[in-house]
Amino acid sequence: MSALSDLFAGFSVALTFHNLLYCLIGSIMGTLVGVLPGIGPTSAIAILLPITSFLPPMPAIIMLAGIYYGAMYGGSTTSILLNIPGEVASVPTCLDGYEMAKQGRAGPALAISAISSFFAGTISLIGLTFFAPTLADAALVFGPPEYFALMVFALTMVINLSGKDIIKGFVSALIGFLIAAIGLDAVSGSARFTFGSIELMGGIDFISVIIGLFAVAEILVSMEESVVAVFPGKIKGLMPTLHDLKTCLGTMVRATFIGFFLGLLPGLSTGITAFMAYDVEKRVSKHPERFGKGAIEGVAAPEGANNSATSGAFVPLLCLGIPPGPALAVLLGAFMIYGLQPGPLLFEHHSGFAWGLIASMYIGNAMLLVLNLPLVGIWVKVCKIPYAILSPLVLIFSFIGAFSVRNSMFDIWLTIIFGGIGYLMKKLNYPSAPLVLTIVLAARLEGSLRESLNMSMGNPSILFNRPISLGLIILAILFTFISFWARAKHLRVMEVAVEDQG
Amino acid sequence: MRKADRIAGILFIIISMIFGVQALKLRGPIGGRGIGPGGVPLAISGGLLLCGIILIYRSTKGKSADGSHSLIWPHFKRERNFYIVLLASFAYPVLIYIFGFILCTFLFLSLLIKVLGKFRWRSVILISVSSTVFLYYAFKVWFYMPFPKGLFW
Repeated sequence: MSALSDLFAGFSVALTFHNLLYCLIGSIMGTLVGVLPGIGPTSAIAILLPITSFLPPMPAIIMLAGIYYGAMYGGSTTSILLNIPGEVASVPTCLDGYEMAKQGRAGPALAISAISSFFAGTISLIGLTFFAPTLADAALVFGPPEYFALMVFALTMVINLSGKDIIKGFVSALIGFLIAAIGLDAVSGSARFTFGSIELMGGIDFISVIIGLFAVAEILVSMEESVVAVFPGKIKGLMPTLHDLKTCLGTMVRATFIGFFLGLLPGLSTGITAFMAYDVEKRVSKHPERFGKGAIEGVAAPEGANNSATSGAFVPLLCLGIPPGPALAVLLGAFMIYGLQPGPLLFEHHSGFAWGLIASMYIGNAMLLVLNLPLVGIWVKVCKIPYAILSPLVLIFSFIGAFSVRNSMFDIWLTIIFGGIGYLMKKLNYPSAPLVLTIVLAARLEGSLRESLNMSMGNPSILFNRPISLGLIILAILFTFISFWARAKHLRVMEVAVEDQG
Repeated sequence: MRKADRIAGILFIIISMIFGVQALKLRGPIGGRGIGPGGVPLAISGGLLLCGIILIYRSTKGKSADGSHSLIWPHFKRERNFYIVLLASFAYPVLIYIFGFILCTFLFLSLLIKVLGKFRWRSVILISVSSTVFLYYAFKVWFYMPFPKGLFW
């Protein structure tokens, strides 16, 4: 009850006219910056942070919360309308969101993105309110073997994202591993697969890869198909239907729990959370073949999981000072500027400040919904812009977005090269999602494995004699067999159907 | 698609060999226990080699597993837009060092919008200029992005 009263106290401070106004301004600015391709929440917060410096701490934090959520939603907007993911967590949104836009359903996609984010953020806040200190201790149980097992479990998604041809899915994933390995090894500092190139020593930047694979490749395919506009027809229905909302209710609940509990794990990227939520929805769906072709659950799941993971991530972020990714790391730095000292005693000694922060994140989340739902009608007009104008603009935005990460022309070349690779992958039916997922997972997986073996002096049994690690590996093997079996069964059914028709 | 699978299989085998050889050259684990920097990449290369062999084997047997048809490249004249966009994309990072960001971006947008959309020059110039100005102010002035300077500007 103490936590609840502290939360209410936090709301009483945050819910003033001036603070709400700052949140609104932050949300607008965050959205406008987040819409720019390549400028994800991390860059948006870093760029807009100086603007908050003239404000007192509480309004500054509320404005930062608005910027953060606005930037996340802005990234989702470009994912849905232009197939340009601004960050890792937006990639699953591209898979179905852009397909919905091509079907004239950009409005429902944008709206469900905001609604799912708000729903998940609200529910996960309840979890954060009542369980934060307990969960902080539980999260510490995860060590390198557990993280390795979790990554292996996450890799079972590769099979589900492989489409019809599992071998091509595996090839895509293995290529992703090799791409991620280019650069300096995190453990030993050795240069790997750089072939003497100084540029490659910095590794292959992930943003360049995803912009190339999704945005540039899509434009090349569209040029071949002579696309007139993303959706040239009459756009009907800007909001999700009642059927859409009913369909997505279970999705939002599952995404909330997946995102929240995975977000508790220190250092786990929200991108992995988004992919996991997407995969779970595909597995539980009665019609998994709809995913990747405009299934609204495919947008609701990663967006909700992403948002609830942020709430979950506040537990290790505030209690242990461990951010899950670059965006929250910048946010944490900003909060420390304003006097927040993360650590185990935060909720005891500075509960007012901490709960005010949590209240401000909730307000930012709500502001996102209030601000962006009415703007859906404006955003969807992007789909009507002639492709002859849109595609060159998207290309330029893509190049600049790639350049902006490291201020390097090399990244523009990478974007173009991966655009070509993405085009070939589409033509030859190689799925790009496994490649993206393994690039995200590879460093963490390899690092966890090597740390685990270092801990056990090279003995691999460490992965199997810890209960959480063993349980996750067993689940991974089980899910893998289930996926293979289901796929083989589906193929047999199709073969029988073809024979019957013949 | 069988031919494409065969070529892809050979390509993956070559890639796996290149990465595998490079992985073997990397030093072993620190202290002699565990996995060194080449361990996981070597295993991945082995997996890719196996997949390449499977793809080649499958291509000699029959249809592709995904049931797709033969790969058809864009026709040079009928789908010329594809080649124009490809050429312009490769030209942009080269010419930016000659013309600079502003001029190169303006030329890139003007050329592509005119060729792809066949709009009037007045519309093309208006869209290209306004877009270039927006991009310049958003990224160069606001975000202080150090775009390459050209020989002229």
